[in-house]
Amino acid sequence: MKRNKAGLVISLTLIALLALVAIIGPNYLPHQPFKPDMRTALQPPSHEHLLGTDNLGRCVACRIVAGASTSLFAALAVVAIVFAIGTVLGITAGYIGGVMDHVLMRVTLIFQAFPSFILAVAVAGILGNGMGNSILSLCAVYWTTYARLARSLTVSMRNAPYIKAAKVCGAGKLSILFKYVLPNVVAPVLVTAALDVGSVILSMAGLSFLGLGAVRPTAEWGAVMSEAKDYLQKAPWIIVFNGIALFLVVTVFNLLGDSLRDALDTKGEI
Amino acid sequence: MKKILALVLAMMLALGCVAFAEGASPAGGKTFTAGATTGFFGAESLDVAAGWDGWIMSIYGISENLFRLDENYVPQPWIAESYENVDELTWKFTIREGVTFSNGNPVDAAAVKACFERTYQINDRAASTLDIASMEADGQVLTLVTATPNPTVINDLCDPLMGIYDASQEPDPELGVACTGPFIATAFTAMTEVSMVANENYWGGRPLVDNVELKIIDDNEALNMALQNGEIDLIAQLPAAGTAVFADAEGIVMDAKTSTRANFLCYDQNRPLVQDQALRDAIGMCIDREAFAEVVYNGYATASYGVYPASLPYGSTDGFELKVTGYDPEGAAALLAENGYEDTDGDGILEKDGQAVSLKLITYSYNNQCIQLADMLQAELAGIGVDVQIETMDVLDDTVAADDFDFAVMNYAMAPTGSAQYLISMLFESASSGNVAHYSNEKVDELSNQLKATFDEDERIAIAKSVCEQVVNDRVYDFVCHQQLICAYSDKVTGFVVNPTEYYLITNTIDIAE
Repeated sequence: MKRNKAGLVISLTLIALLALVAIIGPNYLPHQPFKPDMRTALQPPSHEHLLGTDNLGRCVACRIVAGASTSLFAALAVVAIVFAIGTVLGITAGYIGGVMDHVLMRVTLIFQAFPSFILAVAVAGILGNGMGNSILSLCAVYWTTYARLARSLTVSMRNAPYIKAAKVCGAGKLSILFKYVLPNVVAPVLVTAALDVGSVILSMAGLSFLGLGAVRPTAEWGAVMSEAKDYLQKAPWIIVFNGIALFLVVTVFNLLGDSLRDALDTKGEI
Repeated sequence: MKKILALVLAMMLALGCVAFAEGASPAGGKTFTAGATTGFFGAESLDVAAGWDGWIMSIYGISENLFRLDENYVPQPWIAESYENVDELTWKFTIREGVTFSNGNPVDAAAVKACFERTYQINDRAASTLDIASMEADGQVLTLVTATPNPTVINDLCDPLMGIYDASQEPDPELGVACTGPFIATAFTAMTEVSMVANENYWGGRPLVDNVELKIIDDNEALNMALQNGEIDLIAQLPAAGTAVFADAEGIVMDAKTSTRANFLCYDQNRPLVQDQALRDAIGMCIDREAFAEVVYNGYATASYGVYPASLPYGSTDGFELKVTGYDPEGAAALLAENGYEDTDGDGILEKDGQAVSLKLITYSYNNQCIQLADMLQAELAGIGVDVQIETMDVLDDTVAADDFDFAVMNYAMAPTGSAQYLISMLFESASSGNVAHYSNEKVDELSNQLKATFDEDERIAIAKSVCEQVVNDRVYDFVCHQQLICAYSDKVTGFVVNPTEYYLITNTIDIAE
C-alpha cells in the first residue's frame, strides 16, 4: 500500500511540474516561439538554443514549452468532457434500464463499430480545422468507453442491499443516483480517465500531424513534428525533441493512471 | 491425401507468386521513373483542353505545340516547321510533314484547326491567350487570322493549352486525347500517377527508354527518400528543403535553372480591409524577401521587388520609383499609425474605423515554401498589430471564386509563353477572369491594350515595364521572390536537361543506364 501511495505522489508531483511549465513557462522563454529569425535557421543544439532551431530559426525548446499547454490542456479537456458525459449517461441508463438502456447501448455499439482513430479523422475532417473541432472529434471517439463502464458498474450494484435500503427509506431516483451510485462508480472510471490522458495526447498529436488539429501559428507537438519531417535528414533535432517531449508526458500520465488504480484498488473492476 | 493437397496448394502458391511477379513489371525494356508534388505532376485528366491539364501533359511528354520555348524563352518551330507573318492580322503556318498522332492519324492543317476549335469551345482561357478570328486549312498550311493585331502569336502558340491533339476522336475517359509527343499514356490515375510507353512512331526519333512512370509524392521527405533508395530516378521541381539533402549526395546530380515562377501575395479587392493601399504597403514592408529567398529556398531563389525576373528583357526594376525597397517593420508600423490604424481596445490588434484588422490568408497545403512565407507573415504582422488567420488547402479556386479570403500566397509562372503580355492580360486586366484579386487600374488596362498592338520590341519592353511599375506600386499583387526550377536525379540518367519553362520535362533523349 505504501509503495502505491509513493507512486501516486511521484506521478502527481511530475504532473504538477508539467502543468507549471505549460502554464507559466511561456512567460519566461529566452526566445519568441513564433517569431522567425532567418539568421539562425536550422542550427543544431547549442548553448544559445539548447535543442536547436527549426527551419524558420525559431528555438525548438521554446516552441516545445509554448506548445505544451495546447497539447496538455486540450487532452485534459477531452478527458474531462467524456468523463462527465459518459459517466452521467452510463449510470442513468444502467440504473433506469429498459428502453433507455437499450438505446444507449446500441448507440455506443455503433460508435465502437468504427476504428477509433479513423472515426476521429472523419469527424475532424467534416467539422474542419481547429482545436475545438479536434477536441469534439476525439470526444466522439472516447465517450463510449466511459458510458459502457459506468453502466456495467451501475447494473452490478443496482440490487445491492444499500440501494434497496435507500429505496425503502424513500429516496428519490436522482438522489439514489448521485448519492449512492455515483460515488461507487467514480473510482474505476477515474482510473480509466487517468490512463486515457496519454492516449488522447497521442491521438491529438496524430490529428495535428495530419493537419486537422491546431490552427496556425501553433507549436502543438504533433503539428510541429508533421512540419519537421521535411527536415528529418538535415535537422533531426526538431522532430526528435518534440517526440521525446510527447513520450515523457504520455509516460507520466500512464504512471499516474497505474498508481491511481493501485491506490484505489480497483483492479478487479476494470 | 493430405500430402497431395499440400503439394497442390504449394504449387498454386508458387504459380500465384509467378503471376504476381509478372504483373509487377508491365512490359519489358528500360523504365524511367520520376516523382514530383501535386503542383508539378497533378493532372485531373489527360485532355489538353481541360483546365490546366495541357500544361501537365506537356511536362509528361505526351502533348506538343506548334512552337516551343528554348532556354531563353524564345519560341522555336516544333510541330510547325515555319511561319510567315503575312500582315498584322494574318499568320501562315506550315505543319511539319510526317507527324502522326499516337493513334496513327496524320497531323495536317485541318487536324490542327479542329483541335483549336475544340479547345476554344471547352476552355475559356484559350480566347484570352490568343484571340483567333478565323482559321483556314489547306493541306499542311494553316492560315490564322487574329481578331486584333497581335505581335505575340508565336509566343501564345507555345502555351501548352494550345497543344495539338486529335479532335476527330472522342477522348478516352481514362487516357484522354491522342497527341504527338514521345510518350503515350497506358494507365492514368488523376492526381496520383501515370504510366506511359514509348511512341514507336515519334517524329523526332524513338525515345531511348521504353516505359516512363510518373508518381505524385506530396510528402517532401518521402520524395527525397524515394530518390535516395532508387524507387524513382528523378525529382522534378525539387522542393527547396531537399536541396540541402542532395547538395553533396553521392550518385545524385542536382541541376537548377532560373525559371519565371514567383511567389506573390494577392489581395482580394472585394474585401474592404485590404482595399486600403496603406495596409498593403505596410504588409509589403514586413516581408524579409532576401532572408526568405536565402533561407527557405536555400539560395535557389532571388528576392524580388518587380513582377518578372531580371533575367527577362522586361524584368529589371531599374528606373522604377518603388515605394517598398526592403524589409522595414518599423516603417510599416509608422505608416499604419499615420493612416489612422490604432489599437483602441488594447487587445494587441489594430482597428481602423472601429473594425479590427484581422485578415484571412490562404495558401496551398502542398507548397511548403508558400506555407513558410505565410508563417513568416503571420509572425511579422502580429508584431505590427495585424492579425492573420492562415488556412491551407489543396485547391484554392473555390475559395478564391467565393471571395472568401483577404489575401493569398500564390505561386505562378510569370512568363509561361516568354511574353510579358501573358501575365498582364491574365492577372492585371480588369476584365480578365484570371484576375483573381479583381485588380482594376485604368492606366494598366490602357497600357495592356497598347502593348497588344505594338510590334516593335523595344517599345514593347518599355510598355511592359510601365505596367510593372504601376502594378508593383498599387500592390494588389505583391511579388516576393523568383525561384529556380531544381531537379535532382540519379547519375544513371543521361540526356536530361532542365528547361526553365518547366514544360518539356520528359523527352525522347532521356536514357537510363541498366
